[in-house]
Amino acid sequence: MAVLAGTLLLAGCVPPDFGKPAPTIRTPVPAPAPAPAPPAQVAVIRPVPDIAEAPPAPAEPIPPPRTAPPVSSASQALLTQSRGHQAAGHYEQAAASVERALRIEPRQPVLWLELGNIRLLEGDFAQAEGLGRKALSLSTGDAALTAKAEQLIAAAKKR
Amino acid sequence: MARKSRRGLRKYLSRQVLVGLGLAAGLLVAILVGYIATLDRQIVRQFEGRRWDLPAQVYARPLEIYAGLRLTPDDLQRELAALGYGSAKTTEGQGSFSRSSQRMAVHTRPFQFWDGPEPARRVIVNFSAGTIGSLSDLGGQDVPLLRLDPPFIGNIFTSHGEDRIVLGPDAVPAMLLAGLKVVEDRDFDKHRGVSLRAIARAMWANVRAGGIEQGGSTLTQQLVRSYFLDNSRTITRKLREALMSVLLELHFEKADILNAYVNEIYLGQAGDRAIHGFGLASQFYFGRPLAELQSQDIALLIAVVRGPSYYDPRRHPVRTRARRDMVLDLMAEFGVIDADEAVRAKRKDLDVKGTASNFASYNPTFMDLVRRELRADYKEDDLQTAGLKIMTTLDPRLQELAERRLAEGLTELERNRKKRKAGSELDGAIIITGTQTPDVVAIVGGRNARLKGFNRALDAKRPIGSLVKPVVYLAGFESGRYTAATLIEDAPLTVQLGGGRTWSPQNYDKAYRGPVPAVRALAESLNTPTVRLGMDVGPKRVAILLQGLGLDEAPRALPSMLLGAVAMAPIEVAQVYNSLANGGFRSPLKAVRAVLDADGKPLERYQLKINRAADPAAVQELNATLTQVVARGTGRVARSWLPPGLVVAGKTGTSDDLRDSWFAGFTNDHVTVVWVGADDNSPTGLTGASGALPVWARLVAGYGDAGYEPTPAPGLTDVPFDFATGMMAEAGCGDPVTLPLPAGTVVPPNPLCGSGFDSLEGAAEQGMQWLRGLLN
Repeated sequence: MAVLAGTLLLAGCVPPDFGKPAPTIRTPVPAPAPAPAPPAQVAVIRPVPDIAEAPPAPAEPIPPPRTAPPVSSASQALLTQSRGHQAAGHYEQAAASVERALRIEPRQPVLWLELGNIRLLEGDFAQAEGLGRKALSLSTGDAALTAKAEQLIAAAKKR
Repeated sequence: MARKSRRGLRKYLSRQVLVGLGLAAGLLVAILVGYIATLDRQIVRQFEGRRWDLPAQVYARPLEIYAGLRLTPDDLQRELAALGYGSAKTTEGQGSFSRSSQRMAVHTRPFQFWDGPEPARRVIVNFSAGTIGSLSDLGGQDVPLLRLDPPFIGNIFTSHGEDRIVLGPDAVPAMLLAGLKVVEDRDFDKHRGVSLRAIARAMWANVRAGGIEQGGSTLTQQLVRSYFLDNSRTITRKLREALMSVLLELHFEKADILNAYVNEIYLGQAGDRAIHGFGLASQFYFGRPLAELQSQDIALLIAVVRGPSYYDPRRHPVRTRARRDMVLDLMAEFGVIDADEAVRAKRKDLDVKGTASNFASYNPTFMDLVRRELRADYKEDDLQTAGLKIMTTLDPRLQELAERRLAEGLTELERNRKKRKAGSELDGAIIITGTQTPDVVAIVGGRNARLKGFNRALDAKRPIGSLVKPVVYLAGFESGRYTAATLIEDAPLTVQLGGGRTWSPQNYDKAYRGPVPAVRALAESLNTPTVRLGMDVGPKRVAILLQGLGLDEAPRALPSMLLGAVAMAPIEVAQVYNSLANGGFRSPLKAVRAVLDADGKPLERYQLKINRAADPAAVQELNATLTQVVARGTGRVARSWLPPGLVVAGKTGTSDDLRDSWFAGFTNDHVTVVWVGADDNSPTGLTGASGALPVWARLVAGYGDAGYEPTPAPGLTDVPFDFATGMMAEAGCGDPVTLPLPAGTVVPPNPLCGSGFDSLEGAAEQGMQWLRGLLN
């Protein structure tokens, strides 16, 4: 079973993408739409790019090291769509796009993380934490994603 | 004198008569005026009321298509056919497709979704080995994702079982309106509600046998008749109808009346559901929207107007086709279509889809769930009149499969039941959800899924029996004092209930096995080890955990609850097992994704919500343990129906005296709960394994799902041990089962298995470690 799963995992990986577990999360979030957002709000929504770009925390060694499978091109298209909505401040639309992707790839931690970050932007800290924990539960062995999920949970709990 | 006086009397009388007559005439006029005023009020109220009655339209989930999706060409073709897409050699406009064996070209329809419009697109789908290999546009560019329009599954309606899809004037093809006038009411644009010419022509046509049958009623009169559901042929009824028609024409524009007619007229019958209006009739007969119909289809609908049961294209295709062809001839004669088109259209078959009974996968159980979810945000009246569009999670393929499997399964169970007691017919319920999502994709509320009434899936609260046991073991795993390999004593026990009362639970088979590992106790559904564990961690803790996973409030923390003396509806069980499959995260089940208004403007969206309900690592350990129910335990029999090698996690449940038979479990993709029992709560003679499980296994075998796969969790490592004794095991010795256990778990050495130790000392050391583990 494990051998089969391993084979599938390898087969599913396009070589150039391998080792870049979450290319999407590194895509810089486009700057928020300039006109309507007062400066105070801009400051409030900062945390997310910080989380996305922060170096992985020195986590305790978790055996066995494992990399979450790359995001499929269908989910990638929806993530791009979601980022557009996020930039425009349309969080519910942004969430709808990620939920569509989650129905396609329900075990993809990157997507749960994205949805959690949208809820954090919106100020729904309880959901941000729940989604962060779900992302964390799917990231075991992937140090980078684990760190991101833990940061999301921490950011949500601070509120 | 007498004579004179008699003459005087006569004179007097005649004067009286005259006065009386005058009075009577006045009274009559007054009554008539009053009557007309009453009719006027009636017809205006009816017309105005109906004009704005737009029942909410409910849609199933849209199919999302992308490279890598498990979908065969047959699956896609079935989906497209259900959407009413036409099949041709090349795609011909929106809502059509063409297929060669492993390749399909699809021209989709546009649709307004909550998150934005999905435009009509033309794509090429290439299949390989049961999945979609690639998806591209006509220029060869990859298309990452394509969303089809969602299947329409019904309206939320109530008034006397009438159903309709209300169409605005823009949505009605001009050919239909012109055809209707030509066939039913040629003077429609000129008359004032009634047409003497039409009556005369109808009489002439009826005298002259063989001509196309003519009714003397104008479209306005037919509309009025339809409003009041009265087909008696009395002269007073005719007069009233004529009066109302004149009144209607006085108040409203021709175009409004015609539009009302198109939406109102009776065009067929599906069980107790009356099909009204051309919008719904188009779905009923052709399975596609009115706007996509071709001239032969429109002519058929016009033909049906005259008598939906006499000209029923399914039951009387020959006479209906003859009338359709006459309609086409008339349409050509009066220039609605040209002569060539009429010739072409007459060559076409009737092309009526499906049967009246399975129309539009009409599902009262699912609709019931949708209605309950919307009740929090919408008034019942709005749902029936505001024209809302409701986007749901229903998967029509699984819904159809579940309905069929339940009906077949119950019939077979009844055939096999030897001690069949009269009067207690079996019934059942099924709920299917996602595993990482809260989507309810199918729900069956009884063996006759199309029958409205008692919704067992939502309302039948029944004792869940051993379905509760996974929660008991989860509480044990969470406590840190138990693992799947922990040995628990299987022997009679007595629990002090307080007040001097005691409880002595027994095993189902009355046999006791001594110390068994937790995995075996759960897989074989042994009662006494479960009660021992449950009393150790405390019923209170189990009750709180059960609530966290899926109940609104915690059940009473009684010891008997540890063996399932707690009543739950199938949907609540589905919530609990969804939380398990979801890795210990509770996401409230839902059937409604979003609501749009009549113009497609987004209203509510129902978010995916999630919160942690149990320790994810403990849940992973539990889920792996639950795979042993079907691999080695009470659910073994399911192996004969499930595809070889398909791993499933689940649990059997049986209530006292064999009244309720349950199976709840999941693959990688779906959670499925099956309940079988009798409405009168009488014993069925069925256990969870003999009643619900065969239905469950045969249903799940049809999904095409991937098997349950564990999610790695921190702190768990795979450990092999003997299923029967919990001792160390390996191939060739014992019955090794490998489960993810908390790191550091040590299983006792097996003296009968020599290998695995370099020396006796090693074995002794392992034994000591195990003992220390026990004592800690």
